[in-house]
Amino acid sequence: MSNGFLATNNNGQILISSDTRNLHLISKLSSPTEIVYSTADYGGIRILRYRVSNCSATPVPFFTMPSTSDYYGVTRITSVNSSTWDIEVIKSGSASSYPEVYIFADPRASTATDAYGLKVFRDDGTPSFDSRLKPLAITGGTFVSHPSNPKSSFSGSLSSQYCGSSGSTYFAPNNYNTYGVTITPSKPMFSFSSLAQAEREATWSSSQEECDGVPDGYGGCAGFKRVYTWTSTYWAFYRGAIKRGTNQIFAGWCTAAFGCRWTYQKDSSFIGIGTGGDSGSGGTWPYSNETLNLSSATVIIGDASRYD
Amino acid sequence: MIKPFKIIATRDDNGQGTGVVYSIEKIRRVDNKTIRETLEAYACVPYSEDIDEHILKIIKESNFL
Repeated sequence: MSNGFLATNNNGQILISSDTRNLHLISKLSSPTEIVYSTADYGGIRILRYRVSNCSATPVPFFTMPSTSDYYGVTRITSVNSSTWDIEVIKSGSASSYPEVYIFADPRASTATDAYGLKVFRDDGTPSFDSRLKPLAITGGTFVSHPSNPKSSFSGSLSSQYCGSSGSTYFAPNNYNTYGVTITPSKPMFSFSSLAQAEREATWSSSQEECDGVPDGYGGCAGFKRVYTWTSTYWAFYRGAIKRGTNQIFAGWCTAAFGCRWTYQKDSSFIGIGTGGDSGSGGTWPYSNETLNLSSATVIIGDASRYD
Repeated sequence: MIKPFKIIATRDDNGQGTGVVYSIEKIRRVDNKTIRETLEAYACVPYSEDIDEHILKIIKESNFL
């Protein structure tokens, strides 16, 4: 750089540069625009949508974590139109206090109204920094990765018939990794995009043979008999999320979706002559008991009180 | 060990353990009915643990048997 502007701290780290764009506050969203989904089951699931307007550049959301018991993460950022975006935040637990979301973007996304300040331009004439727009100050950060298994041990027994049980307890996630990090702000805000995904499933089957004839003495049936077969496959999808401690970040899981699929079959026979049908299945599902994208994810920490 | 379960498949689980798909079946007779019940599930077994003993522990905890 032969011309331009560069401000560094005592460690030589760049604070302001005319070559790279700083992030600036666009909007503070105190509550979700819509609660897309809510349940207390499966460890608690809240899927929250925050809509930000007047943002003409890609937003970078930070969120507060009002509860130290729950996991949070940004699971989706979608463009509604050229200046409106939807931010999807997932949260575990049942607490009804929701995160505040602070939207940051480069200074092209907003226009300052104050008359005085410091404004730095890139060589193409677009702004890279504007002190009037509340530039983002980072106070800490770390890298986290999630344990491969959302739950340390899946155990329990569910109904094989018509998905007749709730898998809530069976699938509720409880596994996490712990990372020490200094969290100095009294009101910290976090940037974390959920990357890791996992799916777990379990199948319960049962068959019941009813004999209307007489036992043949060998464990079989002489006469009419019917065989009923039930199968229920319970499943849950998970997204990686983070939880905060005093000076820790916990990388764990939120349940993002769950469900169950059942089958039922009845076969009849008379003295060994089948009067029912036949069936079969095979192959594999594309995504079954898998964990994806376990690579390190970045957690950035800022002081939310600077932007209130 | 006499195993009351069957290991259907194993694979490495992201370098954090052995992923095991297992199944277990129990049969009981009630009146004139034969009832056969099967569970097929997945477990991530730490490398340091014996797979059979780990699966057996999960099955015992599940109250399936």
